[in-house]
Amino acid sequence: MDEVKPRRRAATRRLAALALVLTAATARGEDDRVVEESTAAATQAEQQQHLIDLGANFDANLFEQQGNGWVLRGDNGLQIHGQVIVNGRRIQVPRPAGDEEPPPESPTFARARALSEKRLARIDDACELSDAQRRLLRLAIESDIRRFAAEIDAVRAEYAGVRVNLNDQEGQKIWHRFQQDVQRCRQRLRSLFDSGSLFAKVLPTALDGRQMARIESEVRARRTFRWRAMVTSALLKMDDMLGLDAKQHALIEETLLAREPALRVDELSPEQENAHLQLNLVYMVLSTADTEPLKKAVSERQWRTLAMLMNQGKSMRSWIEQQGVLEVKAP
Amino acid sequence: MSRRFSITMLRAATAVACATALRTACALPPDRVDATPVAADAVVEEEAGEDVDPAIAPPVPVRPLGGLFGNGLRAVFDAMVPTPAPPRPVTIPLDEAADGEMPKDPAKAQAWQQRKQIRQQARHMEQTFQPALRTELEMIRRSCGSLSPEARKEILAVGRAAVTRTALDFATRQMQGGQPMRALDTRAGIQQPLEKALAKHASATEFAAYQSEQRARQGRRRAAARVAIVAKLDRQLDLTAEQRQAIEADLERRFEDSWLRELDDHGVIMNNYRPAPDYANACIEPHLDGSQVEEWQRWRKAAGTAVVGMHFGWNFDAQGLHQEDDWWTK
Repeated sequence: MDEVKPRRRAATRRLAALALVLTAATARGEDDRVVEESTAAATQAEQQQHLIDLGANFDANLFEQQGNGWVLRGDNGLQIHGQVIVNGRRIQVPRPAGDEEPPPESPTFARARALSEKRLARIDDACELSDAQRRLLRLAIESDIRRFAAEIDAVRAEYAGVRVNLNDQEGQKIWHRFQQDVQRCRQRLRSLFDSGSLFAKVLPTALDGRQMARIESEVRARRTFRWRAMVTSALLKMDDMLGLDAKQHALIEETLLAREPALRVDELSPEQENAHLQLNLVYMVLSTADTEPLKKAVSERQWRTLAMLMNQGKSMRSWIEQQGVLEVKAP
Repeated sequence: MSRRFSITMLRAATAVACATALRTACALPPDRVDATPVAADAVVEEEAGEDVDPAIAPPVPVRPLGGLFGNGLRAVFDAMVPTPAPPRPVTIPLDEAADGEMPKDPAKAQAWQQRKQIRQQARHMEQTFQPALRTELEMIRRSCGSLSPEARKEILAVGRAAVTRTALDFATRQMQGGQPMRALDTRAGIQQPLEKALAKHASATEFAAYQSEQRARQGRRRAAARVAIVAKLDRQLDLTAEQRQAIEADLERRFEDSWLRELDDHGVIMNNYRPAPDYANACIEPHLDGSQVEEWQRWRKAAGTAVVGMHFGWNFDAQGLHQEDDWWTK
């Protein structure tokens, strides 16, 4: 019996030691897990900070940007249509009960209507529309806007709830695609009432000959003035570069004014404000002129620089045409 | 310190008393009488006989606006916190040897080092200004083709010195904060010394032809500024053809050379507007209709001269002829 007791005691001690070790191990394990969770949460929070919601940034980039700028607003709490997509992975977010309100009208309508009102006012100023004419033109405009809004909404929907991390490659790829899509939509917006639109088709039938003549005259005057402004500004640079005398200046000016391109003059196009684009457009137009009289009028040193400028404009033709500053003929 | 404080207080009290007496005696409005005492710092410096290098002079604070606080109490505030005198214009000599050795005095050594940095920056800028010199020389050659080889060499030397001088001025402006805002016309900095040198060597007929070309060039700049103003207004306010013509004609009639600043606007956007050319308002507003006036006023409020400020450009964007002309060294 006496031998058994020490053995039991030893076994009990071993068990107690084992229990202590296990408890300690468990305790340590729990501590570790807590630490891991907090690290993961911190990483996730950090990642969230870098996420950009493209859907939430779509309209700001399409409608609010002057020029070809881009804006990124960190509106990451926004979830559209109950889903969030992070770098391509779609995550469903449960909707609160009773959240069944119909979606508001697309912001595309408001923006396009503002543009159309401006155009209508300009036409009205030029040729005094009757109520019936105004109603007819508004109908055509509304039809164009609906078609346009459907196109824009389809593109916007692709980015609804799409969040990207611009610090990783996949995110950058999506951001690049987003920029291309928005750029396409910007150009579509600018050509909304161009030839090919219902408005452009209805206008000559809705107005009489006298009214059309007045509108055309107003458009021609505006186009001529804008081209003159571009030429004057470019010639100022050429004056500083080439050291032109009065005769040379007059010759180049005359050559350029006689080659007025089909500038778009209807809407305030941000590209038309781009000084670099305007300068190269002028050089491009100059490159289409007969070079012999120009070459004869300037010195050899001036010609070298002038020819370089003309080549520069010529080589940028396709880029210039892509910017939408020139009228596009209907297919 | 106590002497300086008492001088300051005495000067302020005298200024205020004199201003008050003058206003009372002549029944002048407060803004017609400048009660600002002479900056105390400047006087103390003079008294102490210190030669403070303007290169390290403190920046000039913005002057307070007019009105009660701006005028009536300015003297009192100036007495408590004196306005330092604006830094004297710096003219760094062309000859680097004039700088001498680095002084032992730490303050002077600092100014000496900054001067060296300015010289280094100016050497970079000289390369940038070379095309502009070639353009100016081209204009001379076209008008004054009968210059003798000696005269050409002398004019070329003057032109090169003008480039160095202009580069030094440019670098000084770049590297020194707090200078009073004023235009730095770098192209004029090169053209004017050339014109002076040309006057000595060119025949009267050729020199007159050169001057006539320069006047025509300046006229083209003015015309370009007018067109730029009207184009900007047209974009924002949708002018009619008649309005464009009327505004341009009015601008031509009353043109001021300070309006050439319009040529320095290369597309800045402020509060979603381009800067409004409202310095020429007298030629603009009378030609606008009701809704245009409203938009014009909104525009002026968002990005008018009062908001944007009086920015001066450098009148230089490194444009010029690329090819050297060996006619000048023959």
